[in-house]
Amino acid sequence: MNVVFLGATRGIGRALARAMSGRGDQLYLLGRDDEALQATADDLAARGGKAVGHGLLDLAGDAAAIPGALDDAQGALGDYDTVVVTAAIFHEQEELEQDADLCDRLLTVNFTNTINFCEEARRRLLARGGGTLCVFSSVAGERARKPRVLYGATKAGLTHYLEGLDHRYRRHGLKTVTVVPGIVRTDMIAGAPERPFTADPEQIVPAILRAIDRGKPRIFVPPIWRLVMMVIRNLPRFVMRRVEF
Amino acid sequence: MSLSDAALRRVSGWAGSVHCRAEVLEPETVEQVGRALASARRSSRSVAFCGRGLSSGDAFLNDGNVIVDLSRLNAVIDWNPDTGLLTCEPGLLMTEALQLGLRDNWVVPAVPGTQWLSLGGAAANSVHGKNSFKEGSFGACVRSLKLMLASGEVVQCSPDAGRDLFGAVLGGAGLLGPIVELTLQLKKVPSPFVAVRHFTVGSIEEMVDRISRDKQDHEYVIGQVDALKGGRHLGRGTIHVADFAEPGSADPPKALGAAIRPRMFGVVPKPWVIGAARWFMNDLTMRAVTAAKYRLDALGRPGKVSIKSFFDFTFLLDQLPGWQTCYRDGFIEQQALVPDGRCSETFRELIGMAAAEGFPSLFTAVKAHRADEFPTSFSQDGMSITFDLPVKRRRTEALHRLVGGMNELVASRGGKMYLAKDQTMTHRQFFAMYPGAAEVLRIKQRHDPDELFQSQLYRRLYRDAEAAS
Repeated sequence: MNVVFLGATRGIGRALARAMSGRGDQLYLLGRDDEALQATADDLAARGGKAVGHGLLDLAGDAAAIPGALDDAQGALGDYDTVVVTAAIFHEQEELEQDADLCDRLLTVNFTNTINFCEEARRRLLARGGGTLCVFSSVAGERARKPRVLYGATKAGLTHYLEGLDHRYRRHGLKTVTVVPGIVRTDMIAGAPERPFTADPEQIVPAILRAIDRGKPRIFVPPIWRLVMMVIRNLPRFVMRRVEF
Repeated sequence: MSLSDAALRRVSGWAGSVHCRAEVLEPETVEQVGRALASARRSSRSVAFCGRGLSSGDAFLNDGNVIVDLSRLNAVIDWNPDTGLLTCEPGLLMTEALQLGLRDNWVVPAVPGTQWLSLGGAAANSVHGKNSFKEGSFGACVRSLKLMLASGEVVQCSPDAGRDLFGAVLGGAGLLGPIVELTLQLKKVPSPFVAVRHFTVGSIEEMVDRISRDKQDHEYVIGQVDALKGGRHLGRGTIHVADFAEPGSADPPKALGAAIRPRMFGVVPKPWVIGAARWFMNDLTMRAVTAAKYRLDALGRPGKVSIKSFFDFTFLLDQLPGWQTCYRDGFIEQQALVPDGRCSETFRELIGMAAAEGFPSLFTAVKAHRADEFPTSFSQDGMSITFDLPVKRRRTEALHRLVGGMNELVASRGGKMYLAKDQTMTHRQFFAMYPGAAEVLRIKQRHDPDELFQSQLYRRLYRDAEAAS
């Protein structure tokens, strides 16, 4: 598998990149921090895998950089059949409400430019006859909740978009895989108290890999979150207005 | 980052017998480690460090304060299969390092009985393996390391530069600061497989004699004692010796052997076995199990060579993941290292004490060690014996009397208890057992005058509670 990977330097993305390169997939890494990309490439190489190259792309920056970044990936990989996007940022609702710039940045990174990137990737994958587009959303996008209004909205929008891609283009060979992680121990939730059903990245990676290989349109990881979110989705409004989670 | 009490998480020592509530931070980058230290400092909390949390006692616990979990800081920075030099972040696991190395016949010189520890933890506790008499403790293979000081500054130290600090960190229980990078020299071996032989011995004296002879000729030597047998045969057990197999020896195992089989005998899922053990384990069944094991070992042809993968030989207990939870209320682990010449008498007394108080130990191992140059590492010319003493809810007082007595006895014989397993030593016993502790404390005071880096173990052992009260 030849993979363009946006967001492999930390968190679930790093664990997934290690697993992919460990089984022999060729990876081209995209990210916003050159030093971290180099360190990740070295790590993958030392573990016996391979990153054929890496390039800079910051989703907080100008969307005009996206085609160039994918051109470079094409050049390094030759051809690619899979695009993985795990990059996103997270901030607490209170922080976002107080800081309009931060809020704008979150909307740009998690929604606008993630979708700009997916659109470019979609066009290119369709042009070569198909492929797999795997994008990480979040359980926060499954139901609007008080502490996750803005972050949840970006993820809800993303999930909606990805579902649409799947409906529209699966027939043309584009498999869209939406990964919906629950609470996973990464620096995204640093310092937060331990909540039920928290998983380690390494625990959920095998299921994500299987979903990518099979082109499964949507996967909750760990799987218990499908059930949890089904319950939360069906809670009546008056309950959601009262509870604080 | 919020520091409200809601963020406190319950954390237990690996043996499940000592607990705390602490804020746990899991940085993924060195920069985030620095931020974690700064935030703890701002809120006047102290910081302890953990890797995979496999220390049995309170070495990484820090009640009401911060624990920085370094296991997500786990990148390989450089691996050179020609020279055997591995540079990595502290969270890299022993199993990952071995899988990298063994592909090209390089092995980590000091490997303990589990593969799941982090290399940072291995360095901080300067862990040892079944070849400790030959290779010393883990610190001996560390060529250099980068340490973040309390000021947030990262310094590099090695035997050549910053020698004091380097020596204090290895075996220093994480009290000088987080290791953020380390370089190890792996050891070239003829093949990734070991030729193992075993034989049984009838008493502790025979066990000690035999091990001191076998360590001359073998790479790995380990004795397992049937500690539930008293009288004339007290200390009877099995000795395994192993050497790396020459390439091309008969029938090497196909795989490196890193895979853990999920079922026992291919049938019973292992979690069921542990679940069952929680209910059926008592002194009587344990006595039956250890005696049956001894009989079984005695049955086989003594000295018969079998070729095993390095993983299968070294990590026997890893085949039963979560075995430590089969003690319902946890256990206290004690590992006593006694100087040569006083081993058999001291071991006999220790086993006798445990049996007399009604706490015979299920897993009791004897290993040989040699001295090394790190002031608080678990090393000296001698042999060690381990005890797993189950906590029995109605008899905690007797248990504490027993371990207190063990600590006293070992101190009086010029021996020491292993910090990575300890949870009961006192300040006085500690300074008697570890003459180097005063030096480590001086070095710590120089680099961390405000005591930012603390753990429950630090407060128990390095502070003189008796003098303070």
